[in-house]
Amino acid sequence: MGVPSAALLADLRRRIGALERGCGRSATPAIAFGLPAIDALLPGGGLGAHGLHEIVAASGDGAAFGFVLALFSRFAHGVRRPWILWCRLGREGQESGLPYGPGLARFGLAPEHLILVEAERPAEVLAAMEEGLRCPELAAVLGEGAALPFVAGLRLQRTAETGGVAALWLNRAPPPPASAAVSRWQVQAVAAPPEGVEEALSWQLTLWRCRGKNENLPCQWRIGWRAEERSFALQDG
Amino acid sequence: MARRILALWLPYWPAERWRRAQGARDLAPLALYLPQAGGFRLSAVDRGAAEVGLYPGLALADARAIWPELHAACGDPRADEAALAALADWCGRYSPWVATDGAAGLRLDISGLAYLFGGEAALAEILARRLVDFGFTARLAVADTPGAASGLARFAAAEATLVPPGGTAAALAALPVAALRVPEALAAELEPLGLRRIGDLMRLPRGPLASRFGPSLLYRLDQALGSAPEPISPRFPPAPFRARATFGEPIRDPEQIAAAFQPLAERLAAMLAAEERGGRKFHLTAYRSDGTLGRLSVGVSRPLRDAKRLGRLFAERLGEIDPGFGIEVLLLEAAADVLRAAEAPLLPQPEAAGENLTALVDRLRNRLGRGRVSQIFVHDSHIPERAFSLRPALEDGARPKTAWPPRPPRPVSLLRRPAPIHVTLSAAGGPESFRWRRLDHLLVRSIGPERIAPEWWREDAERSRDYYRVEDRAGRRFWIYRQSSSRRADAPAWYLHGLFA
Repeated sequence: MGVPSAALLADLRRRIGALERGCGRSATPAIAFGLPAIDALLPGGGLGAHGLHEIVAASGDGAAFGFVLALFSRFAHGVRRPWILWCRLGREGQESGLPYGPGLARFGLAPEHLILVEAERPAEVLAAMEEGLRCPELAAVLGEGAALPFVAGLRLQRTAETGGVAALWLNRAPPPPASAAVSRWQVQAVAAPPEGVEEALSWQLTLWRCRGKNENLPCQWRIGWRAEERSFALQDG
Repeated sequence: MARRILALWLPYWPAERWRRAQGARDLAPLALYLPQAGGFRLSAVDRGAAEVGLYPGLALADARAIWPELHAACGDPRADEAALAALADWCGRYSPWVATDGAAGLRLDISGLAYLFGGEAALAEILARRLVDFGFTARLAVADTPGAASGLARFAAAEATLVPPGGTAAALAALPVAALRVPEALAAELEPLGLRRIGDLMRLPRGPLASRFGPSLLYRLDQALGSAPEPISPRFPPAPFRARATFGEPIRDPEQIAAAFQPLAERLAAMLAAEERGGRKFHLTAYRSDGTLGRLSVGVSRPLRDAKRLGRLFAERLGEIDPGFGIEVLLLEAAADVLRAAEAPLLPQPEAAGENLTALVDRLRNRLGRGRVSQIFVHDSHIPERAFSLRPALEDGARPKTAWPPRPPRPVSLLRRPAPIHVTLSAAGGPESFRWRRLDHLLVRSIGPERIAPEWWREDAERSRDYYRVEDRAGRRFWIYRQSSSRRADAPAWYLHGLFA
């Protein structure tokens, strides 16, 4: 056997890369937070297309909603596709509210680019998400509901790996420990300082788990959102 | 193209319909009765009962006396009517223009269609044979006008009458006047004058006829002869684009159905393309061999004429069609609200949804329902819940797009209905804490009130609301409002309306 040719090596690299899909070694770059402290921990240096990310809404308020919208804004801007598919059960409209058009403006999102799917059964939510993940015109697909069953998460993760669409799951209930998702986040409201600007958006963000990183977790940050630049900012807390 | 109408008359319809519904073919002679003033009277008879001299209107007791072996059952005119409508739908396989004609008749406009079935005689024979298979006695006639065809079906000597084009007047002449569908009293008035046949009327001058018997007699005559219009109003407006497939052997396999569907989709797509059109709503009708039919409708948000996409849209729902004992005819239609297919825009529009997204939305919508896949629009209204709306996604039409001012701040989510909350007030009169979903929220900040007055020009205008943006100790921020009660003595009611990020 002679010296392996460059073409053979390249082919091997491509195949190994394919095996490692989901760890950021893919054609579509991940969407970075823009905060080196956080991005360094994430496979591929950001929340990517090519993987499912879980977001746990800790407090019964709009904090997680706002964080998700901020992520959408960065996703849509990053991949230059405006459309977002939001799948949930119809009853969430009363439980956690409908995305409110006039309130979306500060996230740099045009309300009409949100496509809201209101299903009757949880299985329909998952099926709609799966189809959405195969649609290359979407920037992101969000599912919202109770804790994601492991197998369902696995399916979504597999689908998300092959498409180029970011997948998020917004947990409205405490999630089970096992999960197929690439990362799991928790978002909490932050009490604004008494003299602070009232409209400033900031959240307490906790990274509970992340594929490929097991030590030093959970990590916590306090981050703010700057609407004009579509960027996050680290705040000391 | 000359108009050709096939009229069908089912002389023993209610009785035969009942017998078929019961699945009891050997119950004969059969009569149906209805309770009427003075007791039960026959409302319908079958051929066997008619042959022994029974007729509708006869008292049930008398009928039993005449023919003790008579089977009698209570009639159901509503079911008769519904079954006739279903039979009309079934006849949609022969013609898109089918209407019911009286309580026991149908009319099919078969202008230019008969060649599909091998000519008018062949079509009439096919139809008659199918009806006999179902257990119905049928008389039918083909003529140039609905009036003539109906009259001939009821009064001609033969069970099937085919009047050649232009021969209507001659065929009608021999029929009794009642064939013109004139009131019985009028027919009774004409008879002593020797005007028994339609031919007798045709020979008379029109003026005196109208002045003596009123305009309706002449109008009916003109309709039958084709000089006055008589449209057929179909039960379903026929679609302008139709493709049908007939199967010699009824098909039952889902794979066979899927395989049969694709060529239909291709033919329909070609028809649409030839006229530069696209369909917005598609119907697939499956005519089963037992005379029932299954229907499937699929809507799309953009006019569509791509056979592949049509195939994908129907693919996941073809299983909903129950083949029963087998499907004989599949009919695919693009329904009436057909628009010109979207032409390529002059300038590329980055904001417009592409084909993949449109297809995704169509699939989800056909599966979950039109109202369940929506887009969020913003409107110019200062009433919070009217400032946005959820509309079926990606449908053409007005797209209101209003830039919303960043101040005053608005929440990221709004509850579908404001939720009543219990609020305690501070000394200053503002909210101090509130209880929502069994949780107490002690407020550290409350900004307001922002008064939002009702839109007084609306009829359902309610009372004005005072909104507060509040934050609890954990940093959770809410949008709550107070609405004064209509009665001065009552405490104002508080509601939670939205959540801030």
